[in-house]
Amino acid sequence: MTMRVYHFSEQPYPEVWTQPSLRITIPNSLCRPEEAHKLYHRYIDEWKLADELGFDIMVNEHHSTATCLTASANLILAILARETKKARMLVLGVPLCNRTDPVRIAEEMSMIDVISGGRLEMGFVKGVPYEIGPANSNPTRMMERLWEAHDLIIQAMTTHDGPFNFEGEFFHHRTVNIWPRPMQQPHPPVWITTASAGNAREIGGRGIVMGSFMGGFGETKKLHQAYAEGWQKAGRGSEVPVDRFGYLAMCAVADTETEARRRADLIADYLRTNGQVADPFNKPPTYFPTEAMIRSIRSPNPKAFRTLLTPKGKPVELSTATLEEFIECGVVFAGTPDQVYDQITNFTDSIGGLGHLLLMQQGGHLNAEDTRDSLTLFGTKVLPRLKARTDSKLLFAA
Amino acid sequence: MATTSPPGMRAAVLHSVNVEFSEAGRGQPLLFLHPGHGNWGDRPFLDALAAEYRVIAPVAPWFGAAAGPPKFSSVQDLAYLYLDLIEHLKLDNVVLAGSSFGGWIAAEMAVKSCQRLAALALFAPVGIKTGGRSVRDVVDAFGVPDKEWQERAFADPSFRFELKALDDTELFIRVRAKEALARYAWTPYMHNPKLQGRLHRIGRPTLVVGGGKDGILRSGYPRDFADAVPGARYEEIAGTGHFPHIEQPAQTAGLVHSFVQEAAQAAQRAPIRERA
Repeated sequence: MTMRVYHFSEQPYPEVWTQPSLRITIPNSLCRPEEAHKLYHRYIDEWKLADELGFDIMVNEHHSTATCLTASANLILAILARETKKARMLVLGVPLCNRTDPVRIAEEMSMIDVISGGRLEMGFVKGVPYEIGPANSNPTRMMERLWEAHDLIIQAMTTHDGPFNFEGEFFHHRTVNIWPRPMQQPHPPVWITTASAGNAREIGGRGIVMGSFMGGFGETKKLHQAYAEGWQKAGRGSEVPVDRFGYLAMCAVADTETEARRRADLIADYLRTNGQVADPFNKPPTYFPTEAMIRSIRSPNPKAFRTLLTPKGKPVELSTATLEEFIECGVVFAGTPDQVYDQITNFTDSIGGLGHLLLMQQGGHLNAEDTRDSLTLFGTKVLPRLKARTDSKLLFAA
Repeated sequence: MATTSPPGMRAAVLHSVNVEFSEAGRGQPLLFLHPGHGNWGDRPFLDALAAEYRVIAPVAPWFGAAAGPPKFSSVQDLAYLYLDLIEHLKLDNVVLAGSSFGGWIAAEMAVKSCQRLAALALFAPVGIKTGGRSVRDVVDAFGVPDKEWQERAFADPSFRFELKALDDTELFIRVRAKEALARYAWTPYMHNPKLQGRLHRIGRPTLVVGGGKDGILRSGYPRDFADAVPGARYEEIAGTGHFPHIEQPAQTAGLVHSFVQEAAQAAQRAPIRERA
């Protein structure tokens, strides 16, 4: 079992990133369809290059935003199912709480799995807070809806003897019978993302792959420990295979450290623009615990969204961090191929091993030429060394 | 600044659902249902009414600190709960009053059963949809910053406040109320598409009070509501915003009392036929 490394881009539309709100309220008169056309084809080509270089690929979706042109993850994945040959194709993910028809999701994902020849990694997410507005989805009871939708999708993919009935609390279908059924049996691997220990325990209990985003050294290890608690409590054994864990960071490589950092700094605007959301869509009721909402109202920096600790204990607020601080936290890997190899192995070893490294290698204003150069350097000089590594941990011990 | 209801609430357990309520005064029972921000600011109004009525003011489940019933997710749940409360307390001849979201609950109760009701008083009620499908009848409480919401809600600036200025208890209640409101009224937003077609079932004298400077409801919406209830009277308090009972507690209480008295006198002259 070697570590898998994924190339991820949100397909940004950066030319309007000077607007005060990049989400929900930003009018689409600011979107030039001709520019979006060029960008889609450029980003697809970058995923194709990643596939040729031996990366796996990852997509996601956001809505009503200039930060992400992927309004439907499954649509772009359907294109990539045809355009790529070998890569595992991870959607992380389909926003289960914000979509009204899990059976339709099961159909779409089965199609993608079949078209790609069984390469789908099926990620489900709760969705970030500012997705609530565009979806008009009720922010209360989201996790209950997520698990019911998840159960319905899995039942749809694994039932092969004709229609079944599903009358849950949130979803109702009297004749579920999807065509095609997925190629991977019994169904494509399931992923769910989280940033909370409670959810991590539940995901661990179910043995599903857990994705976590940019939590750095400390937060990531805590989540993996919570997952292991759920795993053990469910009687799955004392140790967790590290292929149950995926972690998303940002990454740029170049021949010189200076150039790599310049590239990474452009990608990191992904995090710095996180607060550019019209109030109050960034904090819908019940999305965060009541106490966290009160802390946020009293906070002198209401645009703050996440503070991490470096391994040395220094607090770093991600919405305003410098590149150096991002690197210290394990949120960005950037440098020459040797430096990036060392940063990554130092990180994955210190959190107890990692099966899936998800890398945003294009973000913000990073142009096609630099993205392709960075991908090629990683693909030829870092990826083979990571794949050949024999001393990495295969089991996570809590 | 007005304050939240004092401690010393009573509680009842109705079919395993816990309901907290305040009680003050003696006389004809009056049940007051708070608006979507919870019971903030209602005390002067309730005290004014308590001079003439036995005023019972519940706090809807999920609006307080305690977790409510996990499956409560609709105004229907609250309407049935409060009908149960009226029965549990053996109230009769009840004046049913409600503000905004509370007015919606009151209307949902009355279309189900008016048996124990004497009259309704609804202050800037929501619950029906009378504007076109691209018209916002009710400002999106979840889509405008709190500062804008308050400017729209309160005509008198002295009722507005910064969230940060609230003490921990008040802020907690405020945040919890918004969470609860999302649970009950997220979509369809602030209305039940079926309610308007059922309002003919309100067989009791009904007073609808609008605020002349209400920036939360579309202009004309409270009058639309009154027009949809057979025989309802519409009154407007010129200087107030969305919460007449908070900005003008004495005047609003006075309107309610005189309306209830008139209704009682009219009932004596010509008893309502279907009355139990």
